[in-house]
Amino acid sequence: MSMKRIVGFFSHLLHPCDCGRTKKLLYEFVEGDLNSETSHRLEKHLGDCPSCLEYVKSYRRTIELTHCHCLPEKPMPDALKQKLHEFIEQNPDLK
Amino acid sequence: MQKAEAQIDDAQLVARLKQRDKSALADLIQVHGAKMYGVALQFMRNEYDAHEVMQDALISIWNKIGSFEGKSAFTSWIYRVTANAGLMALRKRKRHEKDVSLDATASGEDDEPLPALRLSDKSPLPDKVAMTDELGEQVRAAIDQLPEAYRTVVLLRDVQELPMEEVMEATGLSEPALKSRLHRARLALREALLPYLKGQDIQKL
Repeated sequence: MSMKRIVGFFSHLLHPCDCGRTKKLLYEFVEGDLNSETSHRLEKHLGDCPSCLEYVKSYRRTIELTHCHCLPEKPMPDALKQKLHEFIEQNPDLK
Repeated sequence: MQKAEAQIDDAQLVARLKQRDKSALADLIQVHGAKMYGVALQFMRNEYDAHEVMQDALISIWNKIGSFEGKSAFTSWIYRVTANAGLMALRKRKRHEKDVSLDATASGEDDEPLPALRLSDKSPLPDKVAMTDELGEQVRAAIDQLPEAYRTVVLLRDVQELPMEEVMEATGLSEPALKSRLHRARLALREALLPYLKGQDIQKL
């Protein structure tokens, strides 16, 4: 294992403040709401800290999964479809 | 006889709705009903209430079609209208139950533990093809277990991708309260889905 990877692996122990900062600023970072200086500092920390990098990645994946997998098309029951057609025909608000 | 889905295009549907052609609503159900139903069901969790939401959404689409300018895709617009109908139905239900949790600000939530979501199966990760189906089930199960106030903001923001301003308006939450609630909901989902997140490149799924 290279020295850089070893240092990176223990980064959260060497720089606990930046690890704490990552969690604290996670939402703003992912949403792109941070100013460039703070964002750059956080990115630098992510480059050194596999643990925080994985944390941020898993947060992003969660959002992506939520969007991609949440709403598959469900076949509408025929009875419901029939009721909706009757509703369209009969409802006085639909004129 | 109903028209084949392929023969009904959204531009025609919009034009016919704007001309007050009621048969366009029936065609709308035919073409987009399944997805609208999925949205309604996601909010209401049962067929009966989802049916009510579908009806409310149809009335909204009928009444608001004049304001649809085509800046977004028609499909996004109708799903958004359906989501709003779902949210309104939830708010109505909450008022009925004298529970204001949907409207409450998130102050104090930060100190509470994240809701623990339990998924049915955390067996070894399957291959990627099966993973797609299983992931979908697990994601939906996890969202379904979120407390309603959390579930609502996730559905509006992360599933429907409504702009923050619209979610704030729809939920009555302040911006800090919404951000806090959304963040905590995402953390709870992340926790529940962790076995499915590690080492998976979801872009390739």
